[in-house]
Amino acid sequence: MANYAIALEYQNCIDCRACEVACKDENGVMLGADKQRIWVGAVEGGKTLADLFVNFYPSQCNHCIDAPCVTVCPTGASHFVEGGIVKVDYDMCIICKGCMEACPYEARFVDETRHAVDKCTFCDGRIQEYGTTACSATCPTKVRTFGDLEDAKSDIRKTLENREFFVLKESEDTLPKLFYLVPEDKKLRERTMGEGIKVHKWSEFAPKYEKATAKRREEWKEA
Amino acid sequence: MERGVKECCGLNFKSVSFAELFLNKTMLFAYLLLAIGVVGWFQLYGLRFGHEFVNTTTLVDAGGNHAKIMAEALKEQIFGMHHIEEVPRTEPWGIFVAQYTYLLYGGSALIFLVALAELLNLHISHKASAAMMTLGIAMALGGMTSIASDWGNPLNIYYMILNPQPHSGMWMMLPLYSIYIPFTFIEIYFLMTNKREIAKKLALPLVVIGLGIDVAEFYIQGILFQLNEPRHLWTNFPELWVYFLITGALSGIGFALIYAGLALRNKDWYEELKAVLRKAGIAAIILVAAYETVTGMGHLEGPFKTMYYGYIALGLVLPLLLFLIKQDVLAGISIAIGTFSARELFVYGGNAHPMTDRFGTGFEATTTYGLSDVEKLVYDAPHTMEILVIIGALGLGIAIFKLLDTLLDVSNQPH
Repeated sequence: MANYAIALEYQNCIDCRACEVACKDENGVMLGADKQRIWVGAVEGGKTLADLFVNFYPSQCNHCIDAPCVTVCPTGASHFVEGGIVKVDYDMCIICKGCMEACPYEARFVDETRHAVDKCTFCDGRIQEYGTTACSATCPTKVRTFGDLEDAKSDIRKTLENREFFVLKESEDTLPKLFYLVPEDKKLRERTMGEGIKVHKWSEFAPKYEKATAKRREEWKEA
Repeated sequence: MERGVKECCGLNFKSVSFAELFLNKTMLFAYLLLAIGVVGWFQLYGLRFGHEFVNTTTLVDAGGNHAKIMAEALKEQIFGMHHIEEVPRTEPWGIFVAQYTYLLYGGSALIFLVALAELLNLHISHKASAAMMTLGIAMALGGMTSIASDWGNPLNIYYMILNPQPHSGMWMMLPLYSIYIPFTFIEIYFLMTNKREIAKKLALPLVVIGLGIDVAEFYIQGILFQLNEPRHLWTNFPELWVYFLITGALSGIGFALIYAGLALRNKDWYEELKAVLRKAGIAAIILVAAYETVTGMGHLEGPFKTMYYGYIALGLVLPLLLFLIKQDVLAGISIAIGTFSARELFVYGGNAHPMTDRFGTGFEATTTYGLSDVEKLVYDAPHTMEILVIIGALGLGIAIFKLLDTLLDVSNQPH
């Protein structure tokens, strides 16, 4: 059974936001600056005029293996489906917003058109047909590599096995599945990665994820 | 049996006219608060279910022939329209949850204190227990009205029954309150029933079970907040349930003093009741003050500073001084205001630290138009409609209490 994830070459992001538009179009997400399943974060840096820069950080739901949003949901609206994708059943959501409080990544929002909390689904309908997500397919600079972590021949596995990467807020122990690829340029690495971010290699990282996945897999429902 | 009293199921019901029941001064005051609440509820549900832009606009809609909606959509996309964004993702829980914790914990802790007084066989508790317990349950129901307003789609609540989630702190509320509320009414029943023999036999087990359920309630409330692990200001409270219990006790004592000052001042045991509440109030203030030394919200800046000092000044310092000069009712009013500030601080403070410093390089803006707006602390002030709703929830609590008091005369129980 697949375990979907995304590796992000975030140094390639040019903040064109084609991914945001593609996501809204593909998934019928309501309009609104705060109503995003996927977004590009921007952080300004530099101390002098000659040194000014802006970092762009594409982001979305991390589809954590130990997703705290699933744990706190009182109705079971937040759940795992095949592929380790975290989804919301809109018909079951009472909009208590507990999941929004529990998510360390602010990946969820209230969609008033659906009268439910909404979030990224890794385009779970689309990937059956096209093999990738709308955001991955649209990106002009190929920031995202979507794929199955359990398929050794998949692009994402090859990428992770050949590159160093990090995950967000590792200390929260949620085992997120957005893997940010460490820029190969040293200056860019220093500029975009703060102190305290741990860099990993797939060989050392995989056992922990595989063990946790095996433990939670029984909760995965049919898509 | 007094004239105008009818017995039913071991309880004495007063025969009152429609006007006595629904048009007394307290009920009129409650109607005023409820009317304010109705305006808020109307606005709230209008926004959630009736607002043209919020409820219809997707990318496809905006691309149709609706020029006005498209213009609004572009404006919203670029600048945000905070007046139509009921729930910002940065701060999912707000004033409704603050009011819920304020009234529900206050009411529950008051019920806990009454049960404790019964267990200790305090003389005054024999006279005031029924009234105080009814006040406690009315507060709890007012708090629940607030949380029901917070839930954007409460109609789906039946999934909590169809699809149990025992690992969820919020789901645990379902079995808890299914037991807690009926049990509290049973406790009140046995405090007031004419069947004294059965009541005496059951008194001790009821009190002990009641205390156990109260402690379980606060324990589960602690879990509910502490499961939100990324909200470190909530998780750093040691034994959060104890904090809820003692601050709830303080709120409950505040409300009890206000109620005593308004409705019980002609009783010959009024001074005795105030003396007990004063001692309990001073003890609660000392416990809360001790707890505050180990919590982490005092250092927050901006509006949180105002909430913190409002809480410390009105919830702890001023009432302590007023207790010392025996201005107990004024102390109760001060506690009631100050502890609301404490709940605001707790709920809003838990969301104070933005979640967006994901890369360790600073807080992210989600739009390049808002780079200069990125702040180190999150605080979205409540909408006016939300403030109106919590006033309505308070009015509902008052109305419930007054109806029970008029029908069952809980303030005059001989016990």
